[in-house]
Amino acid sequence: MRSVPPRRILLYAALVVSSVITLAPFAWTVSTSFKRSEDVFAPGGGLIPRPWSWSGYHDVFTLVPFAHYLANSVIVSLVVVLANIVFDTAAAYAFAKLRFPGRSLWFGVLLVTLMVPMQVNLIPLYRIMVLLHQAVPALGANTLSGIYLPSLVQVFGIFLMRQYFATIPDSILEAARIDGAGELAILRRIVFPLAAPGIATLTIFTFLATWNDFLWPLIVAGTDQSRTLPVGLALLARKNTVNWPDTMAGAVVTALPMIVIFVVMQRRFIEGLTAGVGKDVG
Amino acid sequence: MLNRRLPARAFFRAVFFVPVTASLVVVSTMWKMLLNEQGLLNRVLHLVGVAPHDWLADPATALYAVCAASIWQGFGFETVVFLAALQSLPRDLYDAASIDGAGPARRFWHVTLPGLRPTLVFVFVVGIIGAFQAFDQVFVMTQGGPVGSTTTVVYYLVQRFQALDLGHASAAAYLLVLVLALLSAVQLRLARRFE
Repeated sequence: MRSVPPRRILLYAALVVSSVITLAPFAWTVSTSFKRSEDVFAPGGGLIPRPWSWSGYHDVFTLVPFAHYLANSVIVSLVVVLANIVFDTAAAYAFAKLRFPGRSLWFGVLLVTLMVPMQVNLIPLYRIMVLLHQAVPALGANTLSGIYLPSLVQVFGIFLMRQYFATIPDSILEAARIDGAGELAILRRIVFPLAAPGIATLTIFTFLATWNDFLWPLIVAGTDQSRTLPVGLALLARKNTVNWPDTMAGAVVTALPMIVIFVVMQRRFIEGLTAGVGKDVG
Repeated sequence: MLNRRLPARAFFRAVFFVPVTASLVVVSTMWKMLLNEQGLLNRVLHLVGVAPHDWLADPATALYAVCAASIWQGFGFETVVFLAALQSLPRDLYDAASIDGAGPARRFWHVTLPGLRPTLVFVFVVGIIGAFQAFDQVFVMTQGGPVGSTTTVVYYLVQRFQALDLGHASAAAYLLVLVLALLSAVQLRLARRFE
């Protein structure tokens, strides 16, 4: 057997230690969520709950409307992701491949809005949502639409997709036009399939940002009917400083869907989230 | 470190990336428990003989405790960004340096570090901009206290906003824009210089 060089052992030791630091909080969270409240800080209590208890999960789904929060998070995320796939790509296609007056001016204006931090828009946006709610009670503040309406189109998404479309040669599009395809048909049959990796990136990015978004949903959704998981969890963590298993069960319910999706498609995920970086770094 | 031909490299990379996918609210909730007076951190410290401390209730430590949670979450993202940058460094520079007789330390100092400079600037500035916008951690872990020691600009903004004091809230918002715009300008400057 060949011997392992000591440097390699050191390297692995460092990696294992950092992994433990990374994973231990998660492990402890899951473990606490299965404990009984009185056992959480019991002396000598270890990672394995003794006895196991479902009361944390039972509580967050009965005493706190986590099922409702979960449904809200799913609806908001799906709406935002689908809308961004349609609108961002359509806009990006126009900016990348169609000629119309003021094209670069409009694109420049859009890019400038990227510089404005979202906290600045908070107050005006909230007022718009309140006015909308007064005009149409089913929309605006305190409804799910209040959460997703401002994110249906994102400048970042348009920018990202435009980069992908720029790599598609014009000759393919010309050929399709000569064959009599309209712009929408070209977008659907040619541009979409060719930009599939870009759309995957857009989907992951948008889904992660929407699922985890906190500040805006917190402000615009003032009722339990319209709260998403992070908002529900944050309010629970603030209110409930005694029953840790409940709070940790809420944390697990909030984080688990995203972690499962990450584990299933981690390569895409990591590439997607660092996609914008290469350009700045290059 | 991860920029080596290691078995299980993808595994470690994925492990470091897991916190990035968790929402900041989840991360803050977890750390609120870990940093509790009877929490895991104090129990680990107890093993090495440090007295338990309520990190989030002490104005002297609360801000650093909030930072720790944020650093822990950002670590994976920054690692992957650096990894991508390391992989784009040209191999032949290393070969040339080796031929010239440079050892591993000098190769790191004279080839790796200069090559990473734009990335360092990027991570640095993006990190600062993100930190200026810190809100979720404060909302969950400390509510701006104890005695205001962890109140950030955005937390103040939201507080004033919810108290319907829109004047102060808007002023805080525009102050934030000003600072962030300055930081972005610095980043662009530095990025250009290193290209």
